Amino acid sequence: MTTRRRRWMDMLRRSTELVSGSTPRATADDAALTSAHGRAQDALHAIVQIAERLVGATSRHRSSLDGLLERQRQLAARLADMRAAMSRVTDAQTRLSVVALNAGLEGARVEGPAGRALSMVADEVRGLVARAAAAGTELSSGIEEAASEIARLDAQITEARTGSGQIADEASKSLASAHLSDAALVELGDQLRRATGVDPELAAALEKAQAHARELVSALDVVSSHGSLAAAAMRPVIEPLVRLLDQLEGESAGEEPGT
Amino acid sequence: MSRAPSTGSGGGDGGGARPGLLLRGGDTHVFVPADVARRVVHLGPITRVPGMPWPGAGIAVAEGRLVTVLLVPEAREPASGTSTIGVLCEVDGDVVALLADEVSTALSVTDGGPGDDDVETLDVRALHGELEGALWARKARRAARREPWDHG
Repeated sequence: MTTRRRRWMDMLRRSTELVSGSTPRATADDAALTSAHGRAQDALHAIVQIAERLVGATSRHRSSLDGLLERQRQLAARLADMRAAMSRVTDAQTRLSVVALNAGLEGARVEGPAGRALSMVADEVRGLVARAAAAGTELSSGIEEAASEIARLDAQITEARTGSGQIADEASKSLASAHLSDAALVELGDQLRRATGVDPELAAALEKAQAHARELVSALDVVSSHGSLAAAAMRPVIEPLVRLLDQLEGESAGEEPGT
Repeated sequence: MSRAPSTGSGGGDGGGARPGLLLRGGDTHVFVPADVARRVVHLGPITRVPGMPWPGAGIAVAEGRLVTVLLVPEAREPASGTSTIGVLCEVDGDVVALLADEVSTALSVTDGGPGDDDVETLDVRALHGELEGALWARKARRAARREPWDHG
């Protein structure tokens, strides 16, 4: 049992050496280069996704600003209607004040109680017109303030929309650049594969396998002191692995008869 | 202008009460008696007449007829083309419109009533005459200038 366990350990150690660069075609530099290429590709894919999300977000932002601008313009149109209505109210007040003045004048002309009554009504109407005019002035002032606020808002929304458009353009350019970079990286990967003979995907897989194997060896070193219990627990996992490594070694020996 | 003390609004109380309108020009109020002031009206856009001297402010349409617009003393000149209200007055058969900064109230006044504030009565006939005189003087000057040509 001890001999068999030692054999497993040896096999695993050799397998990590095999992956880490003992093969003549996959040198350590080639693997590092391929690995760096893979990481660059991963990072670029992340950039592409971010740029796509940015383009989408700026597009939604722009649509939202367009909606805001539309609502603001509807509000401005409504204010213009209110201003026109206020103008009609003012005109009506002026006409009413003219009526009150003429009634007052007639009241002053007519002697006796009838004249006094007419004058009283005229005074009352003029008082009401004066109060309505004061309220109208306040309302007009409010309308003008709202109109100037809306004009300022219009300028700010337009500015934000312009800024959003610029961001959208930059995001689109970034996305296009990222796509170009991706294409260049794919081409670089092909060139790398041709130059080093290492398939980037294989290199990445080997790198992962190497890391896992190192971890496994390290873990087995820890459990090796527990003897048969550890061996019984690990056998179902390690045996297929050993078979696989035997097969890989056999294939490697077949490809490189000189070694 | 003669002086007419104001007594506030109300029908004629007899005893020399005179109905009329109170007009403001700048800080000054003047009284226009009801026998001169016909009524308060809307004036159409006032058109300035080149060379028309004070108190003429221009011409305007009031109640469908063209009238001369006169400014009460110290009243601001309206911008050409603005519409406003004016007081239609009849002077020697002519109808003119008085323009003030404010037609403040209608009231009746009692000449010489004790304890009343003095408000000058506007002599619309004199105001109209001042404009007519200025216009005729201008015509005379023009005629004098043209005279050598007429005889030449």
